Amino acid sequence: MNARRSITATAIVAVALVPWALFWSSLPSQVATHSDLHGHPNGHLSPLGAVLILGGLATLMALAVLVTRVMTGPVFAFVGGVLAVASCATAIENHDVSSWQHARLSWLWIVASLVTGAVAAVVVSSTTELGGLPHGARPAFDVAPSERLAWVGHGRTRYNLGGAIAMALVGVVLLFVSSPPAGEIALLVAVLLGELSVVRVVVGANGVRVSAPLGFPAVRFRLDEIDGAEAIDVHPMEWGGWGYRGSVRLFKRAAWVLRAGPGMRLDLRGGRVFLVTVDDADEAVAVLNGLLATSTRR
Amino acid sequence: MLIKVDATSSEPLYEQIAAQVRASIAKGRVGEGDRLPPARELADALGVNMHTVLRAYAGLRDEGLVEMRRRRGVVVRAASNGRARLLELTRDLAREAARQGVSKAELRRMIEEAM
Repeated sequence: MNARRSITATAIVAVALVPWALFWSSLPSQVATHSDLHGHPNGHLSPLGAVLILGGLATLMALAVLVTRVMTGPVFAFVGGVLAVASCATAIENHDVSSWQHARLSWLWIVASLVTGAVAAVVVSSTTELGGLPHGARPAFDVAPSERLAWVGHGRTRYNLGGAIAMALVGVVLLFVSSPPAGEIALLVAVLLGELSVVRVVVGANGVRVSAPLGFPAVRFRLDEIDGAEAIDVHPMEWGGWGYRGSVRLFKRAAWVLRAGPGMRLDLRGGRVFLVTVDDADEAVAVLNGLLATSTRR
Repeated sequence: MLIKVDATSSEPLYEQIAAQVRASIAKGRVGEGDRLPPARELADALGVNMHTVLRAYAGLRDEGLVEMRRRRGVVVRAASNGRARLLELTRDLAREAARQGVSKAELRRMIEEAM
């Protein structure tokens, strides 16, 4: 448990529920819960229903913030923050009105909810409690100053490749037989699955480059951005699931997860973390740490 | 696949790169159908000129270990694993003969007799 996470979770619950407690006696029998673009209400619920749905979901998100690890925390914090402000806004805008039709739900609340969600996500993402991230040994190859090393490896998942091929076949059939738009979507999904079936990792003098088959997405970290690297056993759920998760810039952590098993974790400057699943991660890590050792020695 | 070159070695860089790839094929770490990294990418990572890597790849192609295809890049050929091991052994043999001052003609005769 971590102080920032506890505070964020408490704040979410407080913002979601306290206004209801304050205004409970001055609410109409039905409260406006939804409105059109001009702020005119077009949806309503009983106060109890609104509290249970908005406040209840926000509370669930707050609990999720407390129990989840590494990557998923900021996502729950964001949703929790948005719901909390939505819940707060519903209570505030409905009190002291004669009926729900007279409530005015300002679009400013939407802005406020998104901002709150973003702030909550950033606060949670900066928590230092990172599940499965103890600093272990950082093995390094001995690299002589005159030596130049490069390492090239892949992380693959057969499931996605199989899915991509199957989806491509479906797409082609749909395209020519029955429904062209569905076929196009199927082909697009096939390309996306293919993009997520393999990742290439290159470690060398210019840092670490990680890229998908078509060259996008791709990320690069220069050697002077990297503190060290570690080979770890990746459990996808600890990193928020499969695919490209998070953002090094926004949330200080990102993970490119294609499968369970060996992965290379980069500990970047400023406490940021990047993870990629790659075969032979031990060797990749030793090469990178060796390069880091020589580049700082020079 | 690990590629290591030494700028102070007397062996040219392209030969060193080729030798490292050959060793990876010989050890079975890179197999039939595997693609070698694009020359530009490997050159960037090693901090060498792209033409140096291309020259190494061309050498491996001439040895029959890889194929260079227009679209797919450089691909390891079938049965290259054994061939790469043989190529390594012959290089070792030639090196050892040179070290001992054994002439080319003599080494050839020795190989003939062994067969």
